[in-house]
Amino acid sequence: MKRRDFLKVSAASAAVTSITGCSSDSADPAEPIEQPITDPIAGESHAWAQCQSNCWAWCPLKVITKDGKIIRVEPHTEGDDNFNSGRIHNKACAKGLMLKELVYSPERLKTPLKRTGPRGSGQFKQISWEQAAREVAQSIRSTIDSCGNRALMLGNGSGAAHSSYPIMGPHVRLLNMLGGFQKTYGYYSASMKEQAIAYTFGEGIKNLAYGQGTGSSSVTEMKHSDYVLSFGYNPVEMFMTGGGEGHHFIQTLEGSDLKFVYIDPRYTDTCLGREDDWLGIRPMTDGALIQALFHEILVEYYPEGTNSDASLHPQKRDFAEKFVLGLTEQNLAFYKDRLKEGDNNFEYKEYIEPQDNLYDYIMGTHKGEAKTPEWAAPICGISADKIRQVAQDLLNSDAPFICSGQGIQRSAQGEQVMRMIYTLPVLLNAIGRRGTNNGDLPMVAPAGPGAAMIPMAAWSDPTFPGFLGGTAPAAEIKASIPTYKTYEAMERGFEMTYRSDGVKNLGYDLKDPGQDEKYGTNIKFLMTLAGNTVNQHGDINEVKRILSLTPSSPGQAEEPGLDMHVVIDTQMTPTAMWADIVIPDTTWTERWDFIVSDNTTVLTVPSIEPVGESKPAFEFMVMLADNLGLSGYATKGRTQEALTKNFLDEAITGPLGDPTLPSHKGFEKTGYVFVHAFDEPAIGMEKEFNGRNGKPALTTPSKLVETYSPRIAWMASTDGWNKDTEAYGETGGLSAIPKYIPTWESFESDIEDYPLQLVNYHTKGRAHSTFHNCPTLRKVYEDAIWINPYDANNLGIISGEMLDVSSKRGTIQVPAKVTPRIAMGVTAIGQGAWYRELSGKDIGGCANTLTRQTPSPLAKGNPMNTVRICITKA
Amino acid sequence: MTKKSENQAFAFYFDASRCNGCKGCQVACKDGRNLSMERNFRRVYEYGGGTFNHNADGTMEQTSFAYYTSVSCNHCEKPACITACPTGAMHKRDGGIVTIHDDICIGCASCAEACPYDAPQIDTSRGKMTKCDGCFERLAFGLQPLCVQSCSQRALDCGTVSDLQARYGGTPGVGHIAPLPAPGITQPNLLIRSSPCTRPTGDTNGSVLNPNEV
Repeated sequence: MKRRDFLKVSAASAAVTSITGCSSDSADPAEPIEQPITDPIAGESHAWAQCQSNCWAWCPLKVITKDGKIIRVEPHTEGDDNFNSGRIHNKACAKGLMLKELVYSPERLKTPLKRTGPRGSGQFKQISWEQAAREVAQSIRSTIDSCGNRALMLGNGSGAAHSSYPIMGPHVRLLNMLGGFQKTYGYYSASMKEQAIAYTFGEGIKNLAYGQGTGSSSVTEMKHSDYVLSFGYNPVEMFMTGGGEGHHFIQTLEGSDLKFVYIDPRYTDTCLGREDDWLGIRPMTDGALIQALFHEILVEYYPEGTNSDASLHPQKRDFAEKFVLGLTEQNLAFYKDRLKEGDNNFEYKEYIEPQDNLYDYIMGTHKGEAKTPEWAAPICGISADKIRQVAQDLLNSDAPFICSGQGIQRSAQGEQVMRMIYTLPVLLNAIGRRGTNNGDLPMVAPAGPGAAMIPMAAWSDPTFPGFLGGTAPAAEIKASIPTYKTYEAMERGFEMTYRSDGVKNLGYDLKDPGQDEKYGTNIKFLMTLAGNTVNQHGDINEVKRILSLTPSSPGQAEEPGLDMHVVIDTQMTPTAMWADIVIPDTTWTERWDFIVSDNTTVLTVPSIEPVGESKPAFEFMVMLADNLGLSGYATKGRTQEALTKNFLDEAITGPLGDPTLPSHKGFEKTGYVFVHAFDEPAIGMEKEFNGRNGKPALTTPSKLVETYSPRIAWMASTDGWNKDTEAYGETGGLSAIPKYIPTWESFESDIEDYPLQLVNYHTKGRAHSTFHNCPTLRKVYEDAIWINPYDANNLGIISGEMLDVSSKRGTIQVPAKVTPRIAMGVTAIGQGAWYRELSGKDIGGCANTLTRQTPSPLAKGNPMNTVRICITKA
Repeated sequence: MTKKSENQAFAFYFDASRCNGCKGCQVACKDGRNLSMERNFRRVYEYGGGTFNHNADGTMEQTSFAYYTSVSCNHCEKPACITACPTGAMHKRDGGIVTIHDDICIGCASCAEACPYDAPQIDTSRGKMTKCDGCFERLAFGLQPLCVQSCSQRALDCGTVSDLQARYGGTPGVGHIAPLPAPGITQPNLLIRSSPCTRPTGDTNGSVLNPNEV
């Protein structure tokens, strides 16, 4: 807005009405005629595509073309739009609507490229498809021959829906047919809570496709609640779609008078007047606040201690005692005493410490202070009165709905706080019943059959949980490195063990590290489809250092350095800049495709010819398969079109198929959108808490909610996992019950040089790093560092000023946005901006110039929201 | 004051309690009308404020409020732009939509100076004024304006005043919210539903937080 401040204009309204120019007396009375109205859409055609970015709403996109060029994108507005009926328009947000800017961007990749200068120099030459396929195939073959399949890795990517994830794309099938590859565990989105939920509620709760818990209730289940407590659950920003969670949330709250309390360092768009209170909490201190909630609850459950039956809430207390392992000393001692050979958890019996139970820890019985609201308040910044109010609301509500976003767990204490968040509803008897939730991210009740995922998943990897066999050999490499050690594994993967680095499915001895199995090789070959982890992994400078390592020759398993880096994408991203071979993929609207989302199933057909020489990534995989002599690879067709049609046919007629899905016949020119009517509100974890005979039926080793985890007790002991004491102190950040343990660069950290906390939130203006290079989106979603007016005043900063923002890892340059929508002492930037170096600073403003590559203690995940920074004028 | 049931003037309706600030409206128009980067026929303003105090015990007393307002041209009853226009290019069509006779516009930008809603904007490549025209050609062919069509949360609508009143209640110009100017200036044909935190026009407890985005 370059013109006026409305507030000034309304005061100067008299001045406006006196402007007459010279029109009134001197104008010629001849009337200009109206031009005839022309058909605004004459000559236009359309074809459906789908936004495949990692927001996961995967909205339909109506791509409008004229004379063979895309002229704009429109949202889905076909059919009914009635939220109460469950059939609605699934309108894409502004990001999907700007697909045109991705298709025709100056960064668009148009031909295969091969690096000519040092890695990362951005010096490439154009090569033929044949040469690209030959060289990549050769590299795969020689890596297997020299170092084994364990040295192959598929990078994390999510910019092309199912196809890009290293769990079920065409690249997965290829490498599975060759004997497997390193399939890391933990997504950047949800690493910490994936582990936290498995330890607390059991492996059976983990989502089949994504790894996040689907024990959660649906968003619409909130309509049965009288009190919603959100730990940063922010659907209105995360899903701007007109069809999915954000819309469901807005509609559900519109029709309800429930009390809504929102806890987040930022006053997000999930508030905007919907909230009854916003608690602007210091990042990563939610654990302290929740411990205070535990305190208030336990004091009312056990007003005369745990040896007395007296209770202000006898029913809730009984429920908690029945389901929570580790609630009291009696509870834990009883469990330990009964453990016998053959029982799950027996191997950890000696490590179970009954005195280390939740009640005594919270009360400070044996050591430490009582975790009262007065104890928590100076840590989290929220007053003791407000904390008390939350506890009272939780205890007095009929159906409290506790939920969380994923930002809270993307921190160095992520697993700890999530284990607390999962415990809270169990403690309250507010789980598995109407109007409640298990503490996790709520979801849209499953509506589609998931049919499209099934043929593809089984075709790639028949061990993919839940599906019924397939036509590829099972993945053979069971050993699984944490995703956040992807780059570290290029430098020292060969020596990693379960005990030292959390590598799963490697043999280990409970007591003797000398017997631990090593991974055996560094990662030598990395291929990434629609992923940008150079930009999106922690500490870009460290990533660059590792990618710059050159071994003495290829195929050296124990020498640091990657032999071959293959990047398949549509844009010259920071990751593509660091590739050895770049492969140009088609965008979402230049190929056939078929993807099921929560809300719609879309048959995509190309709206235009592929730009340049780009080809669908699958067709490059076919070329690789041919080069590698895998004659059995392309069993469903050799083109993306044939593959899509076959998958769709199976999605209709296969064993888990849906016969109401339309065939592709008749839709070759336009594709189609098939709307899923969403289901009634759904309660998560009903059966686990309302099992037969009322017995606990979790899939944990004890069948109970393992707030106390015997296995973690072992991990935390001196016999257990290696501890990073520099980062996490004596405990290494591990504890059998969840505890608030300050870490490196937390609020408590004594590093005066970096006085401010930073959160790297998910901006509306990108889906991670997708859409970054769309100029219109950069205009309407400004990238800036949010600073509270109080702090800005102290620092002498005004909105729009260019700032240098530094952490111990590096410096970015971004403008300031002074805003009341962020807590004091906290700053925020939107993650996903593309890294761009100039004179040692990142002028692109990428969050990961600032983040640290130290993984979290339990999940070995990516703690992007644990950063301390300082600010100076640029 | 026009009678509720008869007012056939073209108007927009905006629901501040639903708007999520997604900018779909702003972007669909920019894209569909091929606007240069500095022109935004429809703009989404972020207005907010808050109070902040540190306590000696390390706790913070913080309040915050914010909301979005999507506005294009309000096709006003007393358009300041028409009054200001020296050539007669700016005019009102039958039905109330205010638009520009492109051929006689001289690009003097008097309309832009006069309009309190920033609706007329100069196209520097041609030296002509341009603005929201209610997508009247699309309307003539039974299509919604691009902004209304793309609103992800069903917070935008358009039609005659009487239609909108029948659907949503309200009155044009009544209950307008900051950062919009007082509606008495130009009598905008804009009906607004407020949210629990919207502030009335003239509010001084907040400010426009996103000037670079509009």
